[in-house]
Amino acid sequence: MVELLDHLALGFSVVLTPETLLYCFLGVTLGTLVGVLPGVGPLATIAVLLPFTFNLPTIPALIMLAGIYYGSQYGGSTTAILLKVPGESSAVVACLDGHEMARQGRAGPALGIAALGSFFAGTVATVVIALFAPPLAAVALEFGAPEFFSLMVLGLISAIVLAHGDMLKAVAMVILGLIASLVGIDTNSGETRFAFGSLQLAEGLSFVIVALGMFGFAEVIVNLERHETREPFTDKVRNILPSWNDIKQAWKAVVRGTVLGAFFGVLPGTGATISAFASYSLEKKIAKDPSRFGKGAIEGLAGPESANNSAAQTAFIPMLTLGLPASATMAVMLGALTLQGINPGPQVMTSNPDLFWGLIVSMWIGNLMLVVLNLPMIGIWVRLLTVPYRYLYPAVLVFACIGIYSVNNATFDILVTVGFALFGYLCAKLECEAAPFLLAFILGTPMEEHFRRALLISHGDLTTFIRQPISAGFLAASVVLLLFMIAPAFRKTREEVMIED
Amino acid sequence: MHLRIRSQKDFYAGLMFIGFGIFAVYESRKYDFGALERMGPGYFPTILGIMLLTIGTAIFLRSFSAGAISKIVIDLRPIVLVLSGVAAFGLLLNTAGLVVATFALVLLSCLGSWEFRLRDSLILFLILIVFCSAVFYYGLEVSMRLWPEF
Repeated sequence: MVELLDHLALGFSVVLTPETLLYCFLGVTLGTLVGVLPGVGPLATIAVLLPFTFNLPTIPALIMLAGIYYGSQYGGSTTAILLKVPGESSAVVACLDGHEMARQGRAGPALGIAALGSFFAGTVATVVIALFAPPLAAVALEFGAPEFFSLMVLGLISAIVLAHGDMLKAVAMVILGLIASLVGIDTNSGETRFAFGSLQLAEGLSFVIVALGMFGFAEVIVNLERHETREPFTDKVRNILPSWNDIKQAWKAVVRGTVLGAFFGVLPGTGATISAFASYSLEKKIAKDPSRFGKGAIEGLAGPESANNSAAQTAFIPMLTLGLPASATMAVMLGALTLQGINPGPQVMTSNPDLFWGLIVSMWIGNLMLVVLNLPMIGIWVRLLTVPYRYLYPAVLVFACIGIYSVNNATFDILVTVGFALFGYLCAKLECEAAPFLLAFILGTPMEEHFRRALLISHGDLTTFIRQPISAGFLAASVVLLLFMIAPAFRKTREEVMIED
Repeated sequence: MHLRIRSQKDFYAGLMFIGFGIFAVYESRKYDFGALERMGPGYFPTILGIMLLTIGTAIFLRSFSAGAISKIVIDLRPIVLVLSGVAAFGLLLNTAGLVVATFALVLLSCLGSWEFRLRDSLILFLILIVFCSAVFYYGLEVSMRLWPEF
């Protein structure tokens, strides 16, 4: 307990400097600003804003990135509520009752309760991270190559199980992502793979390129194919604060959602989406009058929004301690960490305690800023929604292009991104999901590395993966997940949950 | 027997994965395969390529029998114009500078929308170029040229 307080004190001492607070605020504000834009999800938001953090020192850069991350999440739910356009899959649930509330003229309280619920969830999740990350990292410090390999197998299998559409295609996308990660110089042998004699490709593909191409650009193109006009509820946003009655109705849902989210967020591959759906169905199940759901029930918004936010934060636990991203968005965060020269894994906490605890405390501060500073600014965000998409997407494209260029000062990277945009667009058309690809792309390099090392140590004995108990446990969990996937009953529920959009 | 494609999406997805799988295996033959104990750079990609080939074939074959009937509809206008805008930006930035590259990107990508209006695009370009040169060129000092060299 004393140790925990020490850690948090260290974190506060890092964050509570004018400079760091400024970057935290910048991150939160920029994240909200771009996240609010319809058709730009959190993942694209982070990828577009990433270049703004390149020139900063490590700690402010990561704190700003984290700010962008939950700022974009927050902005995304604003768009979901007012426009019924989910920025990413976890916001789908917010569209159901949140948008219904907006249609009934209660957009203000809907936005207010979403923000307050998210803040509560964020606070609890911060404590959860502070409590559980250190012991987990301590365990993970003992991990050897076989354990890490099996852990990554588990992470990828979870990504497959929880992909939206067809599982066979998700498996194929994972394998393709692993192959894409091999492009460039192989660190073991020094041989260049899949580079076709190109010097730029020999350095490997940057995840910024892959993420922006497949998510940012492909998303823009898919959006442009839809000829729809949207109907925002922007004049009706008055009176942000929910009434006492609203709070009385919603607070239990907030608490339940927070707990659910904190749990699901830690599991690899599950993340925010599942927890939001789980919270929604839980609230509907225990409600006295379930028929209110879908017609503007405040619990149906408060629960999932809290769950979503709490999961988004506890997802940092596996990312920071194991180097295992729980979602595609976390995968981008992980890539950003690597760009900053941090090698993610259990050693981060001991080698960079100021970074680790500073980041955790900054999440709480950032959440506070979102509520205190951004809630009054909601009028500005809302006005952004009235800007038609035809003005927004060229701006997004320009920022993204400059961003890609600024990573290496290379225009070649922009042209590679065009290739990935085309690939991402084809995948969308063929109903092959991009998220498992990106996850595998990020995990590919360490996975091959650990696989080789494990077999080198065991002299080519494949049973090494099942002779180590922890590694065997991860593999057993993967097998169980795979069996679930094949089981018809589970398949049916999964389809019901996933094919909402 | 007369074979008919039920799911176009499965058909082409299968073909795509098979293509990538064959390509990965073929390319990996150039690299040392090694052995399980001491893997060469070709080991991992060969295995992955074979796995991809297998799954791709399964998806391909499935397109004739199981699964929902699906068709692919592609609207060429956005994809062609947006991507050529981005490519133009990439090709122009180093030679013609940020202003010209941004102009090309904004104009081409705006043309990709069914609601294109020339006047709006020009105004948008002006706003964006002022903002971007202020923030990225003067502010963050991204190393790029603003104007073409005369």
